[in-house]
Amino acid sequence: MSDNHNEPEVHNKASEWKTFLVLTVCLFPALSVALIGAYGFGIWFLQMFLMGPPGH
Amino acid sequence: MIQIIKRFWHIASKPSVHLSFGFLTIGGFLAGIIFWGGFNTALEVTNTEKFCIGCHEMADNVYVELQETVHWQNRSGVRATCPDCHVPHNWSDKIARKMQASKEVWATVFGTVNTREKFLAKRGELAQHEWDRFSANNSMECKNCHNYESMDFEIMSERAQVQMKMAAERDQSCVDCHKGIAHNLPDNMNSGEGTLSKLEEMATSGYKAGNSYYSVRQLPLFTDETMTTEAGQLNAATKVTVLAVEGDAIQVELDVWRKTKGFGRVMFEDFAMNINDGYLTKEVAQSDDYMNKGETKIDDLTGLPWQKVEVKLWARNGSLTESRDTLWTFAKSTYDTSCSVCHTQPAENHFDTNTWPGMFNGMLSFVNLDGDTQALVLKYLQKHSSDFSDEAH
Ligand code: HEC
Ligand code: HEC
Ligand code: HEC
Repeated sequence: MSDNHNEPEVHNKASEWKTFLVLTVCLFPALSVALIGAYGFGIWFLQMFLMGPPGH
Repeated sequence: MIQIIKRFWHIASKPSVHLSFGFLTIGGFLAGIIFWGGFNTALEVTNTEKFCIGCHEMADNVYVELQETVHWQNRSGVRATCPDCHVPHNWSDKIARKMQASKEVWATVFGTVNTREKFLAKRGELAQHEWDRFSANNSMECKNCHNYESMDFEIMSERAQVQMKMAAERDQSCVDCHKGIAHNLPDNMNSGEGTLSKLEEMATSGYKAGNSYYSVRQLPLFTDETMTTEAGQLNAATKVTVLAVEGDAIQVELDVWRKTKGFGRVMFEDFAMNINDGYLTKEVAQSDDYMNKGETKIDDLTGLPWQKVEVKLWARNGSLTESRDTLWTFAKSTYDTSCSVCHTQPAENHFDTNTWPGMFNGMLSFVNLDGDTQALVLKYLQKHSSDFSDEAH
């Protein structure tokens, strides 16, 4: 990465737009769903092995 | 591919040149709102009955069974849907339940329970999961719609009244008694029907004043022979002495103990032993008109004072038996058959009298017994516990 610094690589408006859209429309939503899913699985496994079914 | 990711990272990790700071923040903020809205909408969709019966496993089995029950059609016009009873409201537990559904999706994809036969073979296990859950959360989902405080016991049948009041007294989990309320029960499980008549068969008649008898089931108590004002409830297998017989009414005397802390509404068979003999209403428990108070002793273990009382109240003429032996025989066979599904069915004398209630409540999520039978079996276990058994354990 560090050697990229000096290279005046061209990134135009279109590629910035693409990056923004990929991030907001695909990557972050997918990550959020994956995180919530992992959280859900985590609770489920805890319930199975440690806590028992949800109480109050 | 690597090239694309590298380039993507290169752009994403640098300040933007062409897109303004304001635009990126607002854009990200809006995308977040839209995502959260969409996520919750999707979650709501998975929380509809239509979604649940999207798989034929549910549609062909439990769904059609539900249509025969009170929760499908009733005089109030309220419909209970699958998620009303099956999905926790708390966010974390809800998400966990959704992830658990991956098992159900798996089963559908691979056809694990794709026929009625396979479903029926699995039902015992599936029902057990739900019973465990309802017993852990004290039937919270039922209580989202039903509420002991809002029930008009007066318009219930007498049997429903006695049992439901007992249940309300302890805030008991509904599914302890109302198993199979929405679907057929697993095959190997008796429906619990007909035990009332079995209990009543054990009752004798022609009671004589001065003799002692035992209640075959839970019974309402009244303040006088007109039997209009309720005085409390008598537990199953409880000893009473008949004082007078007046047509349909009998006057009974109960020789019981109670804890003097609080209103002293709960009656116990013996000093310092939590063997329940029934409840009194607050008015009766606090009045001197219906009881003679005896000695008071302190239970060293808990430091609580107990008081002996002789309570004189009225009951309906019937449902009493001369000896507890037939009741115990019935209780023992019920315990042996119903509770044999538990992995380790403890012997009666494995626990002491005051440990049994907690142990027995833990077992209730496995068995289908009505409230009368539960009370009878519990008392049987307590009276045959290590405190009363000759064999040391
Ligand atoms: C969506 C709300 C809702 C939920 C959740 C719900 N119920 Fe009900 N239940 C009703 C309604 C409405 C009736 C019918 C009332 C009437 O008689 O009009 C009813 C009736 C009943 C009856 C009376 C049956 C009869 O034959 O009269 C029982 C028992 C019962 N429910 C138990 C339960 C149990 C146990 C649960 C939890 C597993 C539960 N209910 C969950 C709404 C609900
Ligand atoms: C100790 C056992 C027990 C518990 C716990 C229990 N019930 Fe019941 N309930 C009964 C019995 C027995 C009946 C009478 C059934 C019959 O007559 O067929 C009954 C009847 C009912 C009825 C119908 C009343 C009527 O008019 O006949 C409703 C509604 C009901 N129960 C709801 C509930 C709900 C909701 C809960 C939990 C909050 C609950 N029950 C907990 C034993 C119990
Ligand atoms: C009134 C509450 C209620 C409603 C509504 C309800 N269930 Fe149930 N369900 C239960 C209870 C209680 C059990 C535990 C087993 C039993 O007591 O029959 C159960 C058990 C199950 C089981 C385990 C297998 C079995 O039969 O015991 C499945 C699967 C199931 N329910 C699916 C559904 C689906 C799908 C719907 C909607 C069509 C639904 N339930 C609606 C209360 C309900």
